[in-house]
Amino acid sequence: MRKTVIRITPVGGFDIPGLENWFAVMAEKGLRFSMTTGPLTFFERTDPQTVQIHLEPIRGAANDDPELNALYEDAGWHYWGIFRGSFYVFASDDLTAQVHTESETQDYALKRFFRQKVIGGVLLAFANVLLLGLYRNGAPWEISWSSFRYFPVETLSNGSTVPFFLAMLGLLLVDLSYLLGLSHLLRYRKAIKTGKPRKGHGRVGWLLAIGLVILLPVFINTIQLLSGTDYRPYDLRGSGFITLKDIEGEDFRLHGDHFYNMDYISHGGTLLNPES
Amino acid sequence: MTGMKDRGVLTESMFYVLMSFLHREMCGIEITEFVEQKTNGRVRLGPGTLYTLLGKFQDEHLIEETQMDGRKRSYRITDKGRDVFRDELARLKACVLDGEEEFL
Repeated sequence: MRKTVIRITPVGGFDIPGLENWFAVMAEKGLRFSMTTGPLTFFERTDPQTVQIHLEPIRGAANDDPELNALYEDAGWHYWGIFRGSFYVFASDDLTAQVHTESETQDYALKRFFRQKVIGGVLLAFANVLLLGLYRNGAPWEISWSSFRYFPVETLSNGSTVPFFLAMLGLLLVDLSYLLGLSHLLRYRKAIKTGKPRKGHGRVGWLLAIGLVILLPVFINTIQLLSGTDYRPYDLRGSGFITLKDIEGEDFRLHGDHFYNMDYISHGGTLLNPES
Repeated sequence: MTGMKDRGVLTESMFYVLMSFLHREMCGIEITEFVEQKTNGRVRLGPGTLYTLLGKFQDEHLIEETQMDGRKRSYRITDKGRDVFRDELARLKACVLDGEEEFL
């Protein structure tokens, strides 16, 4: 039997009560939270245990914090790991144990975390512009309001239709999952302030998972584009065509970098120069 | 009153955590014990509350980290922290006086 079990996280990445509940349910099935990679969550197989889970928002860099662990362990909590660079995951066998004994302080922690994630959202928006700008066939810093107006037409005319639509769809799902996450955080803060029961929001995690699967071929295509490995020459053996190798000799290197090829080939006085 | 308009009043947990630094440097676990002893168990600090307060006080320059020894991180109160505590103490005294005047 495998010791590590991998699951797609069905709950939104900022849905604190939803995630706490999901980890507790998995622990009851004998799956203890271990770590995350993208939309995937890794669990270690253990004996089934009934625990209370608490997610502590991470301040700054997502490193293990020995002081935090000591404080929690002193209060009877066990450190299980880090969830997506956002939360430290703690568990307690005592189902009545309280982590936050003052709602004002908890609200401060959530407000601070929310601000961090809003800044993260700005970075995500920047990534949107970069990726879509790439398939618009122009530098992102040249984008103006008129670019947005003619964006779909220009993109379609450039012929990068499939990567463009995949990028748009994938980013739409990822952005939607992020925005929903922020709204869940706001609702959670409100519930803490008003003392209402805190509910999770299921299935939002699938948006991120599907979005990233759709974006995967776009990322591969982008890396190929940027590294110049997207060039696939036709096999012209036996076709009767004269190739650049025939003209320039065996040393000619087929390369995706058009500027390199243009420099290499001397047009003056060759058959490539239509004037000659 | 130093910055009270900007930062609002201290909650009970904030007040006692800041109080714990008045006489010496403290680490997290010592703070929890101090507050429990001082209030005879009336005020209990959850680990999440204490961790958040230590971060908040550092952000606001009310305390500063002095040393890290293994898993233990120690802090001391700053001049600004003392001023904030003094202001809060004066506010609470005024509240008590007002209450006593009316009640007794």
